[in-house]
Amino acid sequence: MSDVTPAAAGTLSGVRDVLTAVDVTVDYRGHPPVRAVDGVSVSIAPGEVVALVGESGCGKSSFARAVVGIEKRSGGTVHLDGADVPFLGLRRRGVQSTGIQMVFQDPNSSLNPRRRVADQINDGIRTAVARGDASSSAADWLERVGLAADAGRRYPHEFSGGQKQRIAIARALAARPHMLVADEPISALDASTQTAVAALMRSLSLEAGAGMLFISHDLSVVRRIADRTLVMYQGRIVESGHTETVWQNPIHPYTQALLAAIPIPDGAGRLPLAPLEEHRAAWTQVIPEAIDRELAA
Amino acid sequence: MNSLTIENLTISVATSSGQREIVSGIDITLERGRIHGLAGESGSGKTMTALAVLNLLPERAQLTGSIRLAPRDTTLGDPTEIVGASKRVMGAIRGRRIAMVFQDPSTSLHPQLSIGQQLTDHVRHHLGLNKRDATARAVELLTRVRVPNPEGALKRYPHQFSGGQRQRIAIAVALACDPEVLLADEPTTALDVTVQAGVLQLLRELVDETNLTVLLVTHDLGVMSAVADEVTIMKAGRIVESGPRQRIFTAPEHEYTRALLAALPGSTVEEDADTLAQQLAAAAELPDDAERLDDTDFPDRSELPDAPGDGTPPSLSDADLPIGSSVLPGQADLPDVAGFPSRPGSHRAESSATLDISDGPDEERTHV
Repeated sequence: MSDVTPAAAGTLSGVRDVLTAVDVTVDYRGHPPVRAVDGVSVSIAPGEVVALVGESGCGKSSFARAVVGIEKRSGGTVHLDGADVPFLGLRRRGVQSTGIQMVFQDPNSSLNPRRRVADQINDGIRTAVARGDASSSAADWLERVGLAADAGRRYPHEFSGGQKQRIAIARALAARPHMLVADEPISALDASTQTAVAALMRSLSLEAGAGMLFISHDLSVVRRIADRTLVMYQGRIVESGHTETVWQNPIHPYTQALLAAIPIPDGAGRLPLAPLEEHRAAWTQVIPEAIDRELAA
Repeated sequence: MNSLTIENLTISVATSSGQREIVSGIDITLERGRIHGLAGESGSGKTMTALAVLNLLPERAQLTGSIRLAPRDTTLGDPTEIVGASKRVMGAIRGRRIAMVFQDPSTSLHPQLSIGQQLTDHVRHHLGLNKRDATARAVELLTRVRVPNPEGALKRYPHQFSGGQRQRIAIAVALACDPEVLLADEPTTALDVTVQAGVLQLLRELVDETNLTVLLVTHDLGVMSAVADEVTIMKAGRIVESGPRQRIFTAPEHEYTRALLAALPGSTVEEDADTLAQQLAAAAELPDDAERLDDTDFPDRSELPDAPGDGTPPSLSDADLPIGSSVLPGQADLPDVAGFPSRPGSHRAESSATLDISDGPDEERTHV
């Protein structure tokens, strides 16, 4: 464990932030080398949902993986409850690092197909107990995510995609994390299930008092569940702040293009605006006013 | 004017427990120069319907009903029947008169062939053009789908293009023989939203300018609303509702359509709270493949023991979401999978849902 840095202890709202990432940088070797994440900072308070949005390849998944320590950081620091989050790749976490949990995109690959659902949730419960937290029952977690308490004796393949993702969420929450990092947790689900699962994740992490970093390319879902939104382009945060402010009045040209491109299901037959190639050059510009935007009066 | 008419199409497959219908009595009429959207959740039969139009279903699938392709010029003979058509007849239709664009251009384009080869082989085979004319045609097609520097693009390979460009190229390949009907199966699902907007614009322009007929299969109602002229909603192999786009989105008649729309973020559909909660429960979870085949009669979820039906309106701050329909019809009858012994701890590590993993003997090597 490292010492608490002044930055890690810093707060905006008076509540001590559960996660503080400062100037996180991720590089991938290659020809040429790629800087996937270029100095991204974020602080997340308990019970706060922060969304990270952007197009594929913008570095949002790399950032998420660097935050939980699967990806090696080439610069910057990540602190969870004031303690450094080490780079561990896929190795087993020590008891002090299990306060951060992750939900992945595809429950088919994140759940073990050969183990009963309850056994997998029990792994999470044991983790919480090992950290000194209260025990709980798998049946209880299944009910909280809207499944039958006796579903635990079944195997993952007996559930639909949306149900499997609920199980993965139950599994992550059973470890009683202080911080939940969700990397595109709803993209593999049917449209009708996406909003429900996203809303469930929000309410459960609020209930648990955990912070959540919710990564998605679906801005309309993000608008419904995130307190704050970070917009990422080419490894940098180009716009951030209160979700509704960013949504209603985007300042950065990339955010504007992103929002204009969303097709609205209102039956009006309006084609979304496709950005022109020449506009893309403006997307990399730095606009200081677009960062940390407050709630408009 | 109708371009393609699907009448009473039923697709069934033989299973161990007898013949099962996966698409039941579908009627769809595609008008020339229009985009017809086919929406529904995974497993609702929308892709099967599209594949049936090209007679590309697996052999064990049985087709009944009729799919008729109208002649390009109505003065020239009768419509061609596709159901039960011979290989020779289908060979003259596939890629020539009806073409298809798939979801993922990185699998539909051949990674080892240059874009030029993939575009020219097609037109040389179907249209009998010589090499020079075929190349000219390829350049024309790439220009039409707005791939920058078309002459240079012909010499390049699929991996050298971005996802959006690849999908434009896949559309160019599909349009190579100037087909009358384009089947587009989730053509923008794999693309970023800014790129998707460009491909949707292209699709609309092609339809408006060339009188192309499009069957657009998608689960994305936003995409549907942006480009479709008519919309058909499918569930569990049946058509739930069909009609002009605006009517379907603003005044849906079927409760399943209403539930689908209400489940969207930022939904504008006002709905009686009781109905909505029940329908959301039904819409939120579909049975997986095994049960879906049985679930043709849409039992009322409120009568199922585990459906909430408590009239809770959907609310995001509410921890008790109205989505708890957990036990699916038929699920209780599933046999236990005795073949897979459960051995706690035997398969955890990398495949585990989360990162944690309890403390243990490995703790010593966590700091490396």
